[in-house]
Amino acid sequence: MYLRYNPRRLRLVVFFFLFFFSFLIVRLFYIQFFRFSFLKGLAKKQHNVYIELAPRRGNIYDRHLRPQVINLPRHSLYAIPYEINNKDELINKLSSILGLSYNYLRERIYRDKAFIWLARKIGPDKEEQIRQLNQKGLGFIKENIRAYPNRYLASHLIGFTDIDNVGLEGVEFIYNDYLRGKPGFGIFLRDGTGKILDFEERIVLPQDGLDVVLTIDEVIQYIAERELDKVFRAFKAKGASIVILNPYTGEILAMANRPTFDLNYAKDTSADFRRNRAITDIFEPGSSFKIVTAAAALESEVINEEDKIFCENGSYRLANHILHDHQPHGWLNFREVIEQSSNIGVAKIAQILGAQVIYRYIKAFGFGSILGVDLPGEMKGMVKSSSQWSKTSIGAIPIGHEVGVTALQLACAISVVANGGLLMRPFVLKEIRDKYGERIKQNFPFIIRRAIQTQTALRLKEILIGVVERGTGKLARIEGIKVAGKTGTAQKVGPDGHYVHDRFVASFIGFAPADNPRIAMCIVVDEPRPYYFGGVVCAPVFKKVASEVLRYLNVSPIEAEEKIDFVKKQSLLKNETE
Amino acid sequence: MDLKKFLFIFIMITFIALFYIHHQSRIFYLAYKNEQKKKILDELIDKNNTLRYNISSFFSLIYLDKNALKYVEFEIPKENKIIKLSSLNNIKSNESIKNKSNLVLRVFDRVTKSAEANTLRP
Repeated sequence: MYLRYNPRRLRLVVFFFLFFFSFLIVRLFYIQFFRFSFLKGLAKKQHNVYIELAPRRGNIYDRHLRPQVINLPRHSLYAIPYEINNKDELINKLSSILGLSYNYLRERIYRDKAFIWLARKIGPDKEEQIRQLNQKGLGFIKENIRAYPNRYLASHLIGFTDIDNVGLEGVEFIYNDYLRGKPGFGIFLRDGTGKILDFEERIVLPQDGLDVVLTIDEVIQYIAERELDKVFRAFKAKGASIVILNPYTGEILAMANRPTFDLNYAKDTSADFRRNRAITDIFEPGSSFKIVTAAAALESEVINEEDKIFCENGSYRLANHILHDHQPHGWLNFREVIEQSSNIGVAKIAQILGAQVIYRYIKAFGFGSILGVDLPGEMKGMVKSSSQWSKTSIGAIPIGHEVGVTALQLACAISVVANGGLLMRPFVLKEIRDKYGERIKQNFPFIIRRAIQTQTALRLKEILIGVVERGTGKLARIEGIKVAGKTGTAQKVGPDGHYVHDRFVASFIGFAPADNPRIAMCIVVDEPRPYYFGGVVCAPVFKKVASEVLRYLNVSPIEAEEKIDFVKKQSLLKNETE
Repeated sequence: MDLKKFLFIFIMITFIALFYIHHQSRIFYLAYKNEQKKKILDELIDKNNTLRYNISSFFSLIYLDKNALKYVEFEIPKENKIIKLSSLNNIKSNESIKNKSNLVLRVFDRVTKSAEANTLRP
């Protein structure tokens, strides 16, 4: 038996196969050449994932490179709602672990979304408890938080960030553009389970933030805050501020306020505690403002130190107002008028000088203007132009009333006397470095203007030494070191616009050592009680802080007595700033 | 083309294909391994940052003031508690005498174990 050969059937089968394979080849050709880019894109979407690479936020250091801020890792919890089966049970567990309300979590987990945040940057103990739940549909993403090891030290100056590490206050806010860096991105491969592999198709590395080095000294800051805290508590004050400057350069060595707050819990603190009172709060300074009138009188040569003034035995009518001294005086020379802080004596000198001259010196000392400190919220204060002065203003403004100043302005004003007459711009940024320590930007001292002549500053300095040696500032005396300063006690204005008799602002401004100043300081205490005189409340703070700071700076009594050559020092400063 | 040549080419292509697949799978294997190591490195870096923070906190003057002074009797000397030393020449001669006596003591080191430093008596 044999099979019959049928050529027609064979041709049909061959034709069928040829047609089928031709179709396949055409189809392959179409897919490979015409649909190539579309299908490649689809595949990439499945295989690749775009991830933003967060930069490291820059650190903040004090002038000796001691860290004031550190970035700490924290994990943020997210949920994929459609993957969670036992939602209600999970909400109960998470509510007790995270301390969040049931309704809040319920609202989030029942959302019709593929991804939702539940809690950002949670602590390691809470993270561990949630991981132990082993719950499908929950995951963690690593982020960073700003941690402040010194808690409340220089809190108003350093500032803080929000949950996304964007600066909100202080240095964190002003220098946010340097600190934040620039994010990068990477296109990574992922496997079939969605796990991301360290196999990038393309990567742009993030640019880490730059580090900021401040002018503050952690030790000086600590000493200042410790003493400020003591006086704030001891006198049950409403507020207090201290500013310590290098009088020659304007570098802020310390700046502190009370009440204060812990930077690690900034968002839980009220705005009133977070306010940087040293630059935002305006107050009438009282007698510490008399250095302006005294400088004007000496420079205008209307009076000498030994010229006598009759102080009306403590009561003097000026227009429709009666001016009083805290202690009645008869005849005092100009030096004694300042030493004993006679309001009547200063008012009489002001009347000789005239409103225009005094106004000119007020502006020269930096009052009524922004000084340009690199911190947010600086107030310019309140100074009436001479054309707006009333008949009583000539007796009020020269003694520190009807004028509003900030603690920083007072510190800069006393620095003018300390450094031989130059108004320096105060600043907190010393330099900016990259993460390898290379300096990127440096801040230099800046002379705003010459406020008074060097000779005037020297003469005024001698008078201010007398304030501490013999006058109202005796409690600021430091054994073995000459101190120059001025006390201030100002009544506050009540809601009805009149001065009240039971609320005062006490202040002391000074510098030490007087002949070779290393620090200039302003201390302000708002509403101290029961005592309210600047000489009683603030002068002892100056003494304590200045003596410890000078010991820390290794200033010996011998060095303290060396008289500074202002001309040489100022020419060196000019060279540095040019 | 004869059968032998065809089989040879077929086997070569198969080996090359298999080698390529092995190479690719090896790359992915190394990528997984690298990912694990990167995780460990990240954890160590995070731990380092946390420890640096803890060290900074413990070295903070606020912490030292609050806690360390509980355990250390330390007093900042006032001016009148600073003791002025005698002149340098006297110190040098005193030191040479001290060295000699120390040398003697060192010889009998095993006999006495008292500390060489003595506290100053006010």
